[in-house]
Amino acid sequence: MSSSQPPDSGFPAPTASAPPPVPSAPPAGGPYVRLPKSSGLAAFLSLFPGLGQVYNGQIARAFVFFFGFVGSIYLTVEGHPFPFAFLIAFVFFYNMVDAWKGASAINARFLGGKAQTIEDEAVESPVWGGTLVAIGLLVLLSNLGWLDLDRLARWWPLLLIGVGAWFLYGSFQKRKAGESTDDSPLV
Amino acid sequence: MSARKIGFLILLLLFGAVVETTWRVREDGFMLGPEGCRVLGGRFYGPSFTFEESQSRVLPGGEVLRVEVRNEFGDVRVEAGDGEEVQVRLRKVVYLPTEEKARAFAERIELRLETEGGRLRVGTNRGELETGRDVGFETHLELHVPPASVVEVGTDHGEAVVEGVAQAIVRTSFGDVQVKDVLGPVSIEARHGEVRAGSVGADLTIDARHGDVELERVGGHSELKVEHGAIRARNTAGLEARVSFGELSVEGVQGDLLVVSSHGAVAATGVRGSVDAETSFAEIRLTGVGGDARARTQHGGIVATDISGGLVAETSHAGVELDRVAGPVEVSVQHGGLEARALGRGARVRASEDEVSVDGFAGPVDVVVERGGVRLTTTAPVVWPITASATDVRLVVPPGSRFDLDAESRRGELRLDLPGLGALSPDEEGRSRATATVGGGGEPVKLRAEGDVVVETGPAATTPEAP
Amino acid sequence: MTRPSFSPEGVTLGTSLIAIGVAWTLANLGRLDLVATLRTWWPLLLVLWGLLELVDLAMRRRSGRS
Repeated sequence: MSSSQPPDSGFPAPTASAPPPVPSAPPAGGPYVRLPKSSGLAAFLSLFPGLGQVYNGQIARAFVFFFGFVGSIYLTVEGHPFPFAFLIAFVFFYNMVDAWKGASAINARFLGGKAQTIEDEAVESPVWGGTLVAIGLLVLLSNLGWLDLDRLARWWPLLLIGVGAWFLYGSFQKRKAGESTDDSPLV
Repeated sequence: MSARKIGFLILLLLFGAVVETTWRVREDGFMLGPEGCRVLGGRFYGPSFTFEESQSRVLPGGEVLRVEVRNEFGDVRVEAGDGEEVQVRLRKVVYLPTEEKARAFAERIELRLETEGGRLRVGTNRGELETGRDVGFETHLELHVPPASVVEVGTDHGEAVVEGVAQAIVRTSFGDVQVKDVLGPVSIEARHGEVRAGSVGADLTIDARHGDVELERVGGHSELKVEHGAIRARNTAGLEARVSFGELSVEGVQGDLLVVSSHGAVAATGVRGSVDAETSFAEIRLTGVGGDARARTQHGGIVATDISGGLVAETSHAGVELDRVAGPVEVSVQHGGLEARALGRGARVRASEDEVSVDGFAGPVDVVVERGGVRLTTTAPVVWPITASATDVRLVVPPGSRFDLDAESRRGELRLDLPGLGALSPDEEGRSRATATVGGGGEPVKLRAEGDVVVETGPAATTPEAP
Repeated sequence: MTRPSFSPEGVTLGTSLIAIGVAWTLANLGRLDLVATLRTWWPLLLVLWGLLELVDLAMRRRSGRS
């Protein structure tokens, strides 16, 4: 799903390494162009920490915010309310602000005619569809009684490892392609 | 990631969550809702199907049968039949989506009858039924037993009704209880349900919580212990009630009445014996008591009318109102006053912060009021000692009264309007004080007041007020 | 070059609604336990959507590599 064109237009979508054809930058008062992202929607989706970043296509940031939020809650409860309680609020609101700014940046780049580097990277890889199928199968098999999900759930940290490995792999790919990645989680 | 995809993902996950939750509510009986529905939870809703099964047993005649019924999640109804036969009918209501599934499950529910000597045990195999997913099913039992039977019912989450037998013992929770027409003793223990007992020939014992209790026509002694429920009794013999957070209202007690209550009003009418009532934060109202009466409360008034014996009334932060008490009266009120009419044998009153007025009395009177006035009026010729001490005192006596008056007013005036007054001698210290012999003298009448003391003659003497 | 495109979400949504409709009708006729059936099989919708996404990806890759 390419966001620099109207959805489902049927035009071939570019691969991740090639920049899309530069659209004409709309002059002031020119024809109406639909912005790729809605900042408001990004911020709204971030009411669930990380979802706004997913919408923006910034998966790594999404993970950071999500686990940052969950982690702060965990530390507040298990550890000491002070100072982790403040961290909860901070992470939560920063995540919303970041989603808004991320969406605005994407829009700015679009208007400025620059390429979107993080362009729907998730949908362009089989990981998206594959994950959906995997989750669906897991729950289905558990419902049918063929799988003991509770026992399996013990291995969830493997997921973290897997996600980390995927990011590593992804960053190596990008470095090879010579692009600087905007999707640095800490920036 | 586009908004559309995220939106669709959220939609799918929400759908999954809703479906999972609905299923879980149904299966595990998730507790949603007030306490009454709580345990019924999710198992007892949805489509249901009803099936019946009956059994009967004929028992060797001549034995007094003891019938024990154990049940849950269903009503129990025991009635007297005729003859020596015991008939039991089990009505099964199964909550499953289709009739075939319900029927299949219902076939596994069995009615159990066990005889052992003179005992018949009636129940179901409910405890043994193990289902992978808890299926909701109700088992309703209906029995017809010989009239001379002793019936014991233990049930939960269902109504219990016992009628026409020789003796009844009922223990339930979350269900109403009704016991009627039982010749012998009745014992009921109930929680979260109403209790109604009527036409009991012998003693009655009720232990109830969170439900009202209603009694009618009890021949033997009634002993009630009720919390958070009102009691209403009509036509009983002696009654003893321990109540809290519930109103008690009895009518027609052919024996003594004993009430220990808190936070609940007490109202008794037509008690042949004596009354001893105690409560708090509520009023006590007695009407027509054949013997002595004793009423103690706080933050609640006391109203007593037509008491044939003596009366003791104690309260605070409220007043006492008495009408026609034949025997001696003793009233103690803090932060309240007394309004009395027709006291036959005098009164001893201690009150504060309010007025005491006795209109029509015979017998010695001893009244002390702090920060309040006293009004005493009698139409019986005064021949008993009267002592009154208050902020101001007013005494009205009929002409022809004979007494020795000793009246003192610390800061007010003395107004003595009496014929035949002997010599008045003022006090040495200049306070208004007067002593006098009236009508030739008699018992002492001692009146003390911060303010005025008024003594005057009123209407002519009539027969002493006799309630 | 235009390629026949389809929306994986759209197809999933449509199929789901049809499936739920069929199941519900059967349940109302007393032939099916709706809640239990939905609860067991709803993850199939996720699986279906995932597969369609993969198919969509494959189709786009193929047409992109023309």
